Amino acid sequence: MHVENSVQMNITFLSPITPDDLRRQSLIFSYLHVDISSLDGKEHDVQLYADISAGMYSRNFIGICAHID
Amino acid sequence: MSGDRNAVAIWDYAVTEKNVAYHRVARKDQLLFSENADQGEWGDWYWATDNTKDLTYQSGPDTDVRGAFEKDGKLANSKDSNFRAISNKWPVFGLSHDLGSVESGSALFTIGLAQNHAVQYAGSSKTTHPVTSLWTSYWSNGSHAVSNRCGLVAYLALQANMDIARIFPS
Repeated sequence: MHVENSVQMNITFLSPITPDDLRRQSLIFSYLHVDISSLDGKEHDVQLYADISAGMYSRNFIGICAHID
Repeated sequence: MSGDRNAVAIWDYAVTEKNVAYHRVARKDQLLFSENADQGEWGDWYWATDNTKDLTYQSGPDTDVRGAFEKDGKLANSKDSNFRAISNKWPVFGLSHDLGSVESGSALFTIGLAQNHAVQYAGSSKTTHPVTSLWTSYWSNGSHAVSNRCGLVAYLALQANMDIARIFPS
């Protein structure tokens, strides 16, 4: 995702499988990684927001937003 | 937390001893081994991130929480104490990282479901018995489990590097 040509945002969803590590595998957890990088060589003010809702509505469960200056 | 929009949810926010901040959300009336619209009706949901200095959090109606971020670029560090039905002013659970003035940065969030009992098992018996989830043998409760999840990303990065080295030996 790009914000004009100033900042790029990558969002990675990862649900890992660790067959050699039952302790880690026993956790039903997924990861959401948000990565931002400047596209124009300049610094930018960045605030990230992510939420979950208590119930499914409009098929939304996780919401992600960014403020970029 | 339920496939039933009229089900009442309860929630909390805390920081673990390993400095992991989390919202915990659950159906108030847990229905063990039940489902509604393909969603399990039991267990605790955890929504977590590292408790860095720049972190703010908020729980409340979706318009309030998202509105706070839109307006201020951060959250109020407040909790909604009005436990209510999921569809009643749609409670949401926000986490916000202020990365500051940067050329690059990142944040990691974790979503998870902790159920003490995951399956019913009959075996050779005529009746079924609930079986505790494996994770409960390692951690005493869900917040301890969430507290320990950070190490996984480093582990996966190491695994990925090892796999790459195997496929593309230099």
